[in-house]
Amino acid sequence: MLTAPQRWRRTAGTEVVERAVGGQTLLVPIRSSPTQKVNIFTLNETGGFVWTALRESATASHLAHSVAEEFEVTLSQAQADVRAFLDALGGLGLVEVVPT
Amino acid sequence: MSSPNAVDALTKATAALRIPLYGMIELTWRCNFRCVHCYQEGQRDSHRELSTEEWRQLLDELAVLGCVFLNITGGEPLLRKDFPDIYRHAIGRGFVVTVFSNASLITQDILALWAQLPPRKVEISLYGTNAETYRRVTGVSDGWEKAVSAVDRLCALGIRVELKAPAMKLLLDELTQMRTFARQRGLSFRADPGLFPRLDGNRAPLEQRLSPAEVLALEAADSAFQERLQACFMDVPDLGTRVYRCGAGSNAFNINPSGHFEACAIARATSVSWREVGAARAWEALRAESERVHAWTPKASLVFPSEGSKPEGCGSCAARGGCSRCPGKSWLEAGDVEKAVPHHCEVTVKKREALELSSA
Repeated sequence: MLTAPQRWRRTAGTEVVERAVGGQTLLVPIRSSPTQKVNIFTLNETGGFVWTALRESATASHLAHSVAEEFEVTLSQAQADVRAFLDALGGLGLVEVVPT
Repeated sequence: MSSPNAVDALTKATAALRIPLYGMIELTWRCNFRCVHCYQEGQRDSHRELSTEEWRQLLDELAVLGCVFLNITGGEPLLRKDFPDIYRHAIGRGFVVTVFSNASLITQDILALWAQLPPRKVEISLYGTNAETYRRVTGVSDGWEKAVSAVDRLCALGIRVELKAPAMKLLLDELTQMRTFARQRGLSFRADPGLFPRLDGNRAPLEQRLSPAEVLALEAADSAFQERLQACFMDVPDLGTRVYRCGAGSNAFNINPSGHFEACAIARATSVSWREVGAARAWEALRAESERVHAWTPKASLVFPSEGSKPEGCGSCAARGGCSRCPGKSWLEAGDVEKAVPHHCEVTVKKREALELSSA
């Protein structure tokens, strides 16, 4: 039986303020763990693009295609970038897989 | 795409853009302590404080300008009954907030607020390790008891706390105990020998200033001291011709209780009213101050303060890389951001002597 590909979204209930400063996208979690030393995350242009796209849930494949088209990079490069992004932000609790 | 070293990366990425990344807001100059060394004493009722709504509006404008790291200080900021409102607004706008406090007013309500919306850290000033020393320094006897309680409750909540104290005569014998107090809780502690005249010109705080030899002994206790000396005096960096070597007016600012923009908390030669011109123009007005260059042209030869040939300004002093003087200290103590301050010259000479002794 075929299974549907995972869809990703911004983590439900996470409160993050998105800031644009000096051409960079900042994510400032406002209810982060108080012991967390680094309280902000900067996203480069590609990261900002994916973060914006994740306002709606999307598959990694869809995100990679969008990145490849927007930034004129190869699909394999875009797939690697999107995977790294989802892993990094997933590790920080900022994005999650949509429960099926 | 994301960086764990976001603070450094952001600072570097925005360095050339003159974005006011770092801000200090003095919510009030009122304080429940009456510290003998306080440079704000005498200012408490001299300005009309911004209202809650004005602070909200100002914070909104600061966010648009790109300010990210916000220190909320005073006086004692928790004296403002609307502190929770202003704090919540700042967090909601995406500022990374640090709160400076004497820890005497950290109530259950404040703890609940910080548990829900944690600050980046709370910096607590200590003024002794017992009731009697607190009474002598601050005029308040239960300050120590309250500080211990607040520190422990903050730690129990997992909120990051940093401890600090003014290194002054009344506290010199207790700095080691304060350091131990911090270490027992796994907290950092720093003792700062920087004391200034009051903003109204009164020089009473300087009676508490450590002697140059005491300052040197304090700094020498740091394991990185020799390394720092070497960097300051032997590998003299290119300091350029600008008076301000810090971020004051370049990527940092101070706002006083009535909403005046200033380069920093002690360099207030330029003071521009937000109420009159708004945040963008007030920030822009600090540009000239931050870009000010030394009236004295730096010379190739070393001109140390002990050699008697030093001109009045500090621009030509090759020892300035190892000097703790800054434009703000000069402005407060000598009335001019460039003028030498004898105390700092003497400390610098002591440092150089220490380096020579260690190299001999």
